[in-house]
This record gives sequence, structure tokens and C-alpha cells, in this order.
Amino acid sequence: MPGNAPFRHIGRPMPRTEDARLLAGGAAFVDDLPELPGTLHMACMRSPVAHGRIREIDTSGALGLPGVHAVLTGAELGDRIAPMVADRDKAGFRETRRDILPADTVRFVGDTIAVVLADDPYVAEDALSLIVADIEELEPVVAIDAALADGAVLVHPEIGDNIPFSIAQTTEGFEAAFAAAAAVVSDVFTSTRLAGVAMEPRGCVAQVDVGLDSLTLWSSTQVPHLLRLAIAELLDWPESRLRVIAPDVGGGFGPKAHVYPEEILCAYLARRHGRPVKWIGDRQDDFLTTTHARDSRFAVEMALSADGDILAVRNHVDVNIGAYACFPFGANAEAGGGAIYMPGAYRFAHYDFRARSVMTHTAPAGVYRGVAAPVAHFAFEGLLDRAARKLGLDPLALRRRNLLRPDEYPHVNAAGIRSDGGSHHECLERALAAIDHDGFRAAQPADRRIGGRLVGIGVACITEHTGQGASRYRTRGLLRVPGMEGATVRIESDGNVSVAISQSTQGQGHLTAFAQVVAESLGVDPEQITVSEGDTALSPFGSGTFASRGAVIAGGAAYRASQEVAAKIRRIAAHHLEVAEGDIELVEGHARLKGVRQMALSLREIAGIAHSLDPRALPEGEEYGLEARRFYDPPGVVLSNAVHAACVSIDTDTGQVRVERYVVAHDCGRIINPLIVAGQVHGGVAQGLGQALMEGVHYDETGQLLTTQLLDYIVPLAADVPDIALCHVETPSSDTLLGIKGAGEGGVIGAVPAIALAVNDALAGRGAMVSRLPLSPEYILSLMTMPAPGR
Amino acid sequence: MRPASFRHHPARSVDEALTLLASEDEDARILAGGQSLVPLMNLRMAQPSALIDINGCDDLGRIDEAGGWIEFGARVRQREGELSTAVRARLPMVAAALELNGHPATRHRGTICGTLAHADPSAELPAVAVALGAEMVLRRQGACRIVPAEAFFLGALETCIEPGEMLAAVRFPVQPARAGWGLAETGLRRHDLALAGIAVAMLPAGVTRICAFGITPEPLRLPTLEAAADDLPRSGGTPATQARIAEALAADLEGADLVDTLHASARYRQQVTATLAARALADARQRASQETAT
Ligand SMILES: Cc1cc2nc3c(=O)[nH]c(=O)nc-3n(C[C@H](O)[C@H](O)[C@H](O)COP(=O)(O)OP(=O)(O)OC[C@H]3O[C@@H](n4cnc5c(N)ncnc54)[C@H](O)[C@@H]3O)c2cc1C
Repeated sequence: MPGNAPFRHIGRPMPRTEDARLLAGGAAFVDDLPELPGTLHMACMRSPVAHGRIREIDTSGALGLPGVHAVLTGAELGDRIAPMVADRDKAGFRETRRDILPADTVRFVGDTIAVVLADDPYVAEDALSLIVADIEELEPVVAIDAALADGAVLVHPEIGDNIPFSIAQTTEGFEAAFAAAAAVVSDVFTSTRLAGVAMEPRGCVAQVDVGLDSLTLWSSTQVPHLLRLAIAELLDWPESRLRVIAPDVGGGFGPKAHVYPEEILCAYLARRHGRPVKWIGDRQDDFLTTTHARDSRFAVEMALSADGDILAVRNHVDVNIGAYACFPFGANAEAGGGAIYMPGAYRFAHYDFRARSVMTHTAPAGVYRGVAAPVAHFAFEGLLDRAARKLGLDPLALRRRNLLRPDEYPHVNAAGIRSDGGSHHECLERALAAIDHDGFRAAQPADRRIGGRLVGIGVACITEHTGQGASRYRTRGLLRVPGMEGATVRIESDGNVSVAISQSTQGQGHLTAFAQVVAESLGVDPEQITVSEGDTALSPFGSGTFASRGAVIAGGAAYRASQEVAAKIRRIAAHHLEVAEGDIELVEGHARLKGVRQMALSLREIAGIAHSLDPRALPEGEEYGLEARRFYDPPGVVLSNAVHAACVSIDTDTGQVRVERYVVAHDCGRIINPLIVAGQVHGGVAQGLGQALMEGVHYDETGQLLTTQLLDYIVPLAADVPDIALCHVETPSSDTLLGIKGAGEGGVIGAVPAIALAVNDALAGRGAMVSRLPLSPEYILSLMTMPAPGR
Repeated sequence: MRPASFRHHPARSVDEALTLLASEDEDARILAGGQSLVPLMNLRMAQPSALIDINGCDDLGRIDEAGGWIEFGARVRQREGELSTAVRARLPMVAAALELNGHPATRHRGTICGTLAHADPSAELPAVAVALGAEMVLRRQGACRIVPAEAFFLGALETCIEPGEMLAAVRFPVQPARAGWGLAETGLRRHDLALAGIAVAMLPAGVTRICAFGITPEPLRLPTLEAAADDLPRSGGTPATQARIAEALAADLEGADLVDTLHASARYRQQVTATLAARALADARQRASQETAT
């Protein structure tokens, strides 16, 4: 790859080193860890009502069951565990609390009201049915409108309404710009609530060394360091005695970036009973209690000039965040994101946004791959389609006109986000060519009908906010998200390399990608490098894996640490080869005089010297060991961009949408490993297809969850996902180390609008456009059988 | 996802299974392929006291053809039926229904009798059994009765199997030459449970039997549509034909207890059933005419 000329390992399509283990069943997820002697199994009794006051919980029956060790309720727990308080009172934020085990009020179906400890998990579950909970049912609020209504029942009465977070911002001159427009289009775009549906539900095991009063907690989490922080805070336990390990984790997607009551309870109960405590959630637990997302409504208006320049955009976002602010991200992730992410690839100067988080008696909703961006782009691209129709412009011409050009970067958008580059036009043309847009159009009949199907094509241009550092999290008002990442790189005494990263991996290929980065610095084979993640005792402090931060920030930290080690290797080599440091190059596992094979020391020899296992001594003043620990905190945020193009067909009899062809032109800056980027995009597109066409968490009006199994919550299967063609465009960032941008979420972000636009195109003959997700067969059939307007 | 405790009795023969059934209480159940029962037990939505496991009953594992019938024992897997040359040749609609049932992995374990005994409203085979006039062989210790498919299904997950009884076999009349058939369904995904479906059996004597699934708790015969089927024009798809089908269907569904769920309203189910019926009828007619040609 000519663009990567200076690199030997970065940019190589190296197969993932973790795959053999993952694919051959060699991985160990929490439930696979050998059971610790004396383990007690925890089962959780969940509130059967959405809103209620606990009168009494009678646990005597459960306690009488042979094999049951203890039953704990909130009343008995008292204040021995501090509540989760994710946000503090400050401008825009209201402080709410979540009790780990509520003693008084339950706020969603799934709130934990009692836990059982038993000798085996079957007995623990049997015991749940013997607990008698007397709960006074209270009126719940379930949907956004009900929660915002005058006199609405309050989820947390102490904040006076159901709005724990709200923010509003208007650019100067907005109203004048809006008023001067030749055309205004508007609509309300809604998205049904989603679940993350990781293959492995959450679970954890806590073990306490009673003598040392120290804890090891294995958890299926994306944020081991933040979880450790939370345990220390909520259980008042010195961090120095806490170790959190994320073993193999079967998918995260954001929901596992939150800290959950079960993790805190397992740690607490292991300490209290002096025995290991294990909890493994099942699919039902997961749907009931793992955070949901995307339960949002975007009321958007776009003002344009007669020839199609976007002049001003108004965006009012309301997000249903459920009963509690997520810990540690707080109440604002989706609402804030919905406002900030909307001005993506397009140029417009004036922006007026208002975003609110709305609490209801439903499961907490928080971050999920793409956060608010898929819906924000669905709304924005949807408005562009409406604008094109209203102004009589070609939808592609309208996009070409408004997409930011490379010469307009660096660019600060109307939401105040600075970006150093974007290849929107190049991606657009590449995607159009790859999907044969012109050929498709030429073959597409005016009424879109081919046989019993309507066919359409959709093209969406999106950005992805990646690699957010400390400054972004402080601006967003987050108290417990440090933003930076750390890495330790150590050459062991035999010359092999150990790397420990502050993140954890849930299948993203971290172990391969970071080995490639370190290999680049050290001039060794990536295969010689062992990367470990997920263990707070082994890795430096850091934030965790979420928000497409891994490659940029942990990659940056690994690069810095490995550069420091490389410098020391050069110093030692220069000393013994008696040449200048600057003349040493690190290649093929050797430090050598540039271009001279004979003038070289192997890494093994240098490691021997550094560990005092070699007759040769270290240079004067040099420390023993060959190791560095460095952190990286990039400035602000870096935007990746992509264009997604989808061809769909709709069965006119049933309204069922099928995605026939799919292309992504994708730019995530300097690529560490194109295979891994492709995997991220493919998986993301599959998830986006799920949101676009079928997925949905549903509550009834009393707050009962209707989708508690994979029978009711429909996710796409292999047969529903088309082949995905991918074109890589590489525009290195000038803001980040190595020019890397993130790639974890763009797949989802682009797929949602692209599929929706393709459906709009297929329905064009009927004049209908979609405005809510998912595009279920029934919804689409209702749009098709709607009388066509003005015909 | 952990079942409540239960007694497990592996049976080696149908007689042993019947003896075990007789000795157990009313909450005992047959364990066949487990593809529906085990998930329900894991969710504790089913809590049988005992399972009579018929997976070891080799005498229930046969597909027999005799006297114009093909009979499937209770342990015949769906995949075996689907791939059987006799079934593909003489009960093509049964093979087609089995292909639509779940995935190869579930069909390798799930049984033909199991999907009938389970009686899920969205299941294909019950409707096909009604359309083809299948017969259920119900046995208890020392007794046997034959129930026509149409009388077997009582509601969602409800059949006329009584405590102590099992579905020992199901038999289908082999389809005469010049019989036509059509089977159409739609779901939320490809290869998914049906939101609505239609099975059409067209016999040479001009008898057409049509049965819908997924729209009512039990498979529903559609007599008005059956009566109308003969004089519908041969070409499917025209708006006039569609309207006549929709009208006949509406008459058949008058007063029916329509399934109405999160994923598809009763209205949607009725609407797509009409278009599916047009497809299935057209297919049936086309197959009938092909059969004539040979
Ligand atoms: C992923 C998946 C997809 C599926 N998709 C479909 C689909 O598209 N269409 C469809 O129709 N089904 C589908 N199913 C259900 C599947 O077809 C089941 O196998 C079938 O419904 C039950 O057959 P079984 O042999 O597994 O019965 P089991 O699960 O063992 O039993 C089911 C019930 O029937 C009873 N029973 C079983 N055999 C007898 C007998 N001989 N006498 C008396 N009672 C008996 C049991 O006691 C139990 O109550 C799907 C299942 C899965 C897991």
C-alpha cells in the first residue's frame, strides 16, 4: 500500500491472532472460569411492577429451602452500599440516585428487590419463587409524552420533573438565517428502543481474600478500571485492594460499558460472607436489566436556499432514558449526542438545538454502539430527501452541493466541534461507483416496480465521533470518565515483548492491532508480542473500550510506550556498537547500524543486558529493565467519515424489505489493519440493519416488558444480511498520533440512514417517506397502501 | 434459563413410554426433539413433573408407506421427513412445510409429531396436516384412537391429547397424481416464524382444501375461499381476483379470534393472508396442471 510506505506493520491485513482461540472454543468467558471452591450462586428477584412502593418482602420461605445460604433485601441492607449518583447538580444536570437494592420504591420492571445466595444456581432460582413481595402498585410513566405532561407522575420526585438533563444552544443569527430561507422542510423522526443483545449476557464472579480484605472481581465488562473505581466508591474499599478482570467478553456494544448493581452486590456479598459469589445473567435478565438505547424522538427543521444550500437546522431531541441515570456516563449521553452528532458531513452555519433526557419507569437506557448518531443521521438524511423533493432537486446533487470539501478543513461545525479532515466527496463517488448507482438508476422503472417488488437505492453520508479524550468528557460534564488510556510495553529478559493496555477487548481484534503498533516501533514481528487487556492489576489506569476510542487512544498510548522503549534499545545498542544513537535502526528483531547487518545486537541480547543476564553492562546511568508506561490523551475528538449505499427491494404483498446490495466507502484515517476495520464495518452494518428493519424493545402501557426473549426481540440473522463491499479511503488525521481515527461505530451509523433512504426511494412512486424505525413489514405496507398524495 | 426440577424417564420402546406415562401424574410430558419444550422449561413457562423421553424409542423412528398412507412415528425427525424420497415424491407439501420449519439444526432434532403436538399457531405442519386430511394416531396404555387433524387442534398450544396419551404417529394420505398444492407464508425475517401463512391442497376431483396458519390460535379451514377457489380465474394476481379472495377470506374470518401481536396486528395478518392465498392458489393450480401434463 503506497500510502503506508513508511510503515512495515501498520496497515498490514494481518489475520487476527486471537481468532484461532476464539473460533476453536479456547476462550474463557466468565461462566467458563473454573468454579472457585465454596462458590455461592446469586439469583436476583426483579420487581414485577414498573412503579411501586415496597411494603414487605417475606423471605422466610426462600430461606427455608435446603441449599439456600442467605437472602438479602434492601431493607436489610440499609445504607451499607452507597447509592450510584452519576450526575451532580450543575447547569443542565439534575442529581438522581440509584439504590443498589431499593428498599422503598421500585422504578422499573427489573429493578432488583432481593437477592438469594445458594449452593447451586438451580436452587437459587427455585428460591426466587418462594419470596413473597408485597408491593403497592403506583401509576407508572412509560413514554416520553406521558413523562413530559403536566402533572406527570415523577420517577424521581426530588428533581421536580422528569428531566434530569437538558441543554440548548443557538448560533448567533440563527433566526434571521432561518427566516431568509426559500424553503423549509420538517418532520419528526422516531426510533424504537433497542437492546444491545451481546451474545454473552452479563455476569460476574467475586472472590475475597478474607485475611487481606482484598477482592478479585471477574466481570463481563467493557470498563474494568471504571468498575474498580465504582466498587471502591460504593463499597468504601481501598482501590489498592481491588482487582477487576474482564476475561474474554462475548460482545459489549456499549451496554457493558456501564456499571451494574449485580457487580457491586457480588463484591459486597463475597466480602460479607467470605465466600466467592457468582452471578450469571440469562437472556431474560439481559433484556430486563441491561441498558437499552435509542428510545428517541428528533423534531427537526431544515431551512434551505432556492438552489439547495442548507442555511439553518433546528433539532429538538427527546430521549427516554428510563428509570435511572447510567453509571458512570450519567443521564446525558444520548441526548447530548443527538444534538452534537447531527452536523456531520454537511456544511451549515446555523444550528439551534435543544436536547432533553426524559425519565420513565422503564429500564435505564444508555450508550449503545453509535449512541444517538444513527438516528440523528436518519433524521438529517431524511430531511435532505424531503428537501430535494420540495425543491425539485436531484437528491445526490443536493448532497454534493452541501458536503464539506477537503479544502474547507480544518472545520468547526455549527455545534462547535472541530474536525481536521474529511473525505466525503471521495467516499461518495467511490461508493456510487462500487454500487453502480448509474446502472441501477438506468434499470429502475419510474414506478420502481420490478415483478412483485419495489426497488430503491439509498446513499447516506455520515461522520463518526471517535477517539474522544479527556477534554471532551470534561466538556460533557462526566465525573468518572478519565478519557485517556495507558499502555505498558516491556521487553522480557528473553527478548519477547509483553504489552498491557488499559482497555478490554470484546472481540474487536485489539490484541492484533496493538501488537502491530508496537511491532512498528520495535522492529519485531507482531507474533512475538503478547498483548494483554482487561486486568486492572496488570495494566495502567485508563477509561475502557467504548465510543470508538481503542485504536486512537489506546493505540496512541501503545505507540508512545513502545517509542520510549525503542529509544532505550537504541541507546544500549549505540553504546555497545559504539555508533551514534541516531544511526541505529530497529529491524527484524535487531538493533543495528543502518543498513549494516553485521553491526547488530539482537533484541534478546539487549534484553539480557538490560536485565543483567549478559556479561555486558548497561551504559552508565541507565536503569535496569526495558519497560515503559505511557498514557495518551488526544485533543478533543476526531471524526471518521463514510458513505453507505444500499439497494433494497420491498415485497408489495407483505411490505417486507430486503437489502439486496450494500457498499461502504469508509475513511478512518490511518488504518492499522484493514481486515479489522472491515470486520468492524460489517458487524456494524448488520446491527444497523437490525435497527432499520426489525429490532425493538417494547413495553406495554403499564410498563411491562413485552420483549424478554429472542423470540420477541428480533435480530437479523445471517440470511438477512447481504454481502458488504468495502472501499477504504485513508485520510490520516493531523490531530492524533499516527493519524489514526476510530472505526467501531460507523457501520451502524451509516446503515440506518442508508437503508431508510433506499426504502424512501423504493416508495417514491407512492410519495411516502419513512419517519420512524424500525421499517417493519406492517409499517411499510401501510405506507404503500396509503392513498398517494396529489394523484 | 434454568428449568425447575423434574423426573426424567428414558424409554426404549413405545410400550415402555406408554407404561411410564400411565405411571406418572398429569403433569408428565413427552420429550421429543426438545426444540420447543426445553426453551419453555428453561424459561419456567413449562414445569412438567416428569419427562418421558422417547428419543431412545427406535420403534417410533420409522416412516412407513402402506395402503395409500405415509405414517411418521413419533421419533421421526423433521429433517428425515424433509429428505425422504417417498415424502418428497408423494407428500411434497409436507416436505415443503418442513423446509420452512426452523433451521437444519433444529430440524435434526425436532420431530414431525412434536411440531403437531406442540400446536404453535405459527407452525406450518399443523395447517398442512389439516389441508391434506392427515390423521393422528393417539395411544395410551392399552388403547388407541384415530383423530382427524381437523379435530386435533383446539387452540394455541392446545390439542385433544389427554393426560396419559401420546401422539404415537401421524399419517398423511399420499397425494394422487394430478393433485396440486401451494404453501405460502411471510415472517419478519427470512427463515422466520410465520406471521401468516396458507396451505392449499387441490385434489383432482375438484376438491380444494385451504387452511391458514399464524392468524388464528389454531389452523383455520377457509370454507368460503375453498368454495370460491374453483371458479376463480386461472391467472392469479389481477385486482379483481385479489378482491374476490379478500372478500371470501373476510367471510371466513368473520368472528374469528385473530392473532394480534407486537410484530403484526390482526389487520396486517388478514391483509397479507389474502395476498398469500392468491400466491398459494396460483401455485397449486400451476402444479395441478403440470401434473396433468405428465
Ligand atoms: C430456532 C427455532 C426456530 C423454529 N422455527 C420454527 C418454524 O419456523 N416453524 C415451526 O413450526 N416451528 C419452529 N420451531 C419449533 C420446532 O419446530 C419444534 O421442534 C417443534 O415445534 C417441536 O418438536 P420437538 O420434537 O422438538 O418437540 P418437543 O420440544 O420435545 O415438544 C414440544 C411439545 O410437544 C409435546 N410432544 C412432543 N412429541 C409428542 C408426542 N409424540 N406426543 C405427545 N406430546 C408430544 C411435548 O411434551 C411438548 O409439550 C422452531 C424452533 C427453534 C428452536
